[in-house]
Amino acid sequence: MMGLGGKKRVLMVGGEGVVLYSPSGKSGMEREASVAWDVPDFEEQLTESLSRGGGKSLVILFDGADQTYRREENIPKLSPIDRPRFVKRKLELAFPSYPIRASMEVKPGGAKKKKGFGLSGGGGSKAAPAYLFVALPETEQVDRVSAAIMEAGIGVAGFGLLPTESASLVSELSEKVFGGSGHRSRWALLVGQNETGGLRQVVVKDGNLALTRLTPASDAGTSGPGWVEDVIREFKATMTYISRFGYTPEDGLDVMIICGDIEKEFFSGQDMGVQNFKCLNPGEALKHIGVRSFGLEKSNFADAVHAAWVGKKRSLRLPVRVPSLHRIHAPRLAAAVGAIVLSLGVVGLLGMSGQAMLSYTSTKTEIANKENRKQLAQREYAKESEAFDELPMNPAVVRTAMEVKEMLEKNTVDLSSLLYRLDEALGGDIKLEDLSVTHTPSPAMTGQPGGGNVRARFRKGAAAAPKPEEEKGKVKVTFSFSLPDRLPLEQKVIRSEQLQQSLTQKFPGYKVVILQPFSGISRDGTIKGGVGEVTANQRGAKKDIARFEIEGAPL
Amino acid sequence: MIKLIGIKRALILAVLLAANVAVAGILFLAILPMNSRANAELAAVEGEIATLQKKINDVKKEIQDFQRNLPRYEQLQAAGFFGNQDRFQLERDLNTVQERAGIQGFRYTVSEVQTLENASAKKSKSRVIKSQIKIENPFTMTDIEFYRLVYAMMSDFPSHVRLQSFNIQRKADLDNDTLAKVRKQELRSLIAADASFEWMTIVPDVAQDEKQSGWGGRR
Repeated sequence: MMGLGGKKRVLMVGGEGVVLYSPSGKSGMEREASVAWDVPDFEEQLTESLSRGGGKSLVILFDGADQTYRREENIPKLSPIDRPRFVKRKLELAFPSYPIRASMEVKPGGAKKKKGFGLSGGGGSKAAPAYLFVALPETEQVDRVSAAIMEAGIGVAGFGLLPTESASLVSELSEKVFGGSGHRSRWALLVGQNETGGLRQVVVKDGNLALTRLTPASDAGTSGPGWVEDVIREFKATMTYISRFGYTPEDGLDVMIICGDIEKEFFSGQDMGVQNFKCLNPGEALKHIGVRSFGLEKSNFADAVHAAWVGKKRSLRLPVRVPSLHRIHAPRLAAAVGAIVLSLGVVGLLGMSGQAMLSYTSTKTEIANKENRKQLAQREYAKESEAFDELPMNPAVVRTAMEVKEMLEKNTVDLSSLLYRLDEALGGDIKLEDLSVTHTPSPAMTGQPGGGNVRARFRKGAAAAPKPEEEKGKVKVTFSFSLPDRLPLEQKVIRSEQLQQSLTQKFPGYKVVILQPFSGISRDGTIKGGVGEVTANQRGAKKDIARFEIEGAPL
Repeated sequence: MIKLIGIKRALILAVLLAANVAVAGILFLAILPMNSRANAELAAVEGEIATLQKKINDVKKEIQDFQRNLPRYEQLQAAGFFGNQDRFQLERDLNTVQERAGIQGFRYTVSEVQTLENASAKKSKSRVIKSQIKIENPFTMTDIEFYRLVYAMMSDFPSHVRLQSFNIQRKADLDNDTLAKVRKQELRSLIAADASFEWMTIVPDVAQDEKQSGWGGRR
């Protein structure tokens, strides 16, 4: 459905000519121009009138005699995807020779249910949907209007048919005029004389278009008592039609006639034969739908009311696609869309440019701040460098001296601790024969890779760096000792084993090895000898000593 | 086509298109490259600040370390840790050790000065030198005096001395015969002993072109 947002003009197209209405003020509508078909320079006049619109889009409200309507109820229940295609096919079959076709779904009673027209709502949404098909030929009138629109260069917001668009107007007016009485009629009829030609009657039932008739003006004219008689006669004919469609007086019928104040005097409810009857001048009708009028009280034409109603709506109820208008409308719509896209593009690019400029300005400010910080840092560095240069000697030399001294101290054995523990382990009964202490330094001391720099182990690949205990190197202590000669060999061996145990406790982590046991005999080693008189003397012939070795990291 | 859409619309479209091109041109050819250059400039300045900050921290740390280590350095200097292992001074120092150990005398052998490879020293354009000092045949009656000599070497000898090894062996049991020999001064020592030490100092690396400050003062 075509959107009609914003202020727009309405061009009424009928059998006699066209009338152009344009919005006026905040909520007003004024008649701008009218041109009859038989005017020689019809297109020029209409083009000129349309050109004065100031860019407002145009809605065409067609009310010619060629409209054809059909209610189609044999629409099966289909999916939302299949149904439009089916309806379109049905429409083509219904009006094969008409180039202009349209359809709309008729919701039984639904449209006006909220406003009191829901008495016939039986079936509701569960009932099979009914469709209203409309068609009209591509007439010369439409072509002439299209040509004028093309010349004027204005945009077309939509093309609608008066009966379908004004069905809701009938319901609205009926509600406003008769709603206060408490009685709610299922049927409503609006009668109005078109300035563009013909007496239009629109009948709605339960809010839906039920019947519409357009009858040409008789010799009596379009106003005065003669016109009133014509209206009454046509109304009665309409009553006959709607009776065939199932109208009964119990359903109720609201009848409204748009006419001038003079014509009002000639109408009476008794003549019409209905209880709910009301004559409204165009000004009163416009007031009911919330549109201000300007001097239309004496007018006998209803076009302004229909035009105002359509102009007020946000969208057409049944937009009709007219090929000749579409040929104009499509490129203009594309141009409008293109203009919107390009406008958005400009706005977007300007936004991006603005953002980029803001970012640039911010970055520049930050650079300036950072430059200040850099200068401060440079000054601080110069100051610190000056202090550094003032030092009595190169700090690297001092640091190296500390590192080398640390390395040397680690590789220097604490002899007092070592000898103290050894003395404790030996006890008083052991007599040392010799003692040898050797300290093998760490690789650092021998100039091997990784040595000489205590920082090396903190660097990457520290696995290759020596462990803390390895940094001190290794101490090997070898000593020989003897025990009193009178002590039996087995006791000496026991004492050796005790000493080994004691040394192991005193020097944790050290390897304690008996290099030479007393008389070369251990509990689990090789032994040679004999029994009898020879054995004891041979063993006691030389000085019997044992030799131990302990090895480990310096204490 | 222009007639179909209208001159006004065509003009608007053309103006909008031109405006798009113009703004896009300004944005992509001028503003964005300018912005990129500014960002690069900012990154460069930030990098320079970070480098300067690191240098400042390094210098500060160097100064702090120096001030913390200077007293210890001066102690080492006073202890001869930066001496060149002069052999005449060595003799005097060994005499001092002998007096402090309280022994009658000993023989010694000192090897030629050698350089110990040390990466840390190399970086500060200095080198670690060492000499091996071997002490033999001390005139001591007991091992206690020998131990005292070893302690004296390690504590009283200037600079840093590291014990490499020592050997001590009983020459004779303390019996009547031995005592008689001692009495007749035929036997001056009851033990045979020797000890090896490494004497280590740090000196400027003379092979370096530039004379290194710190060895005798910076200025």
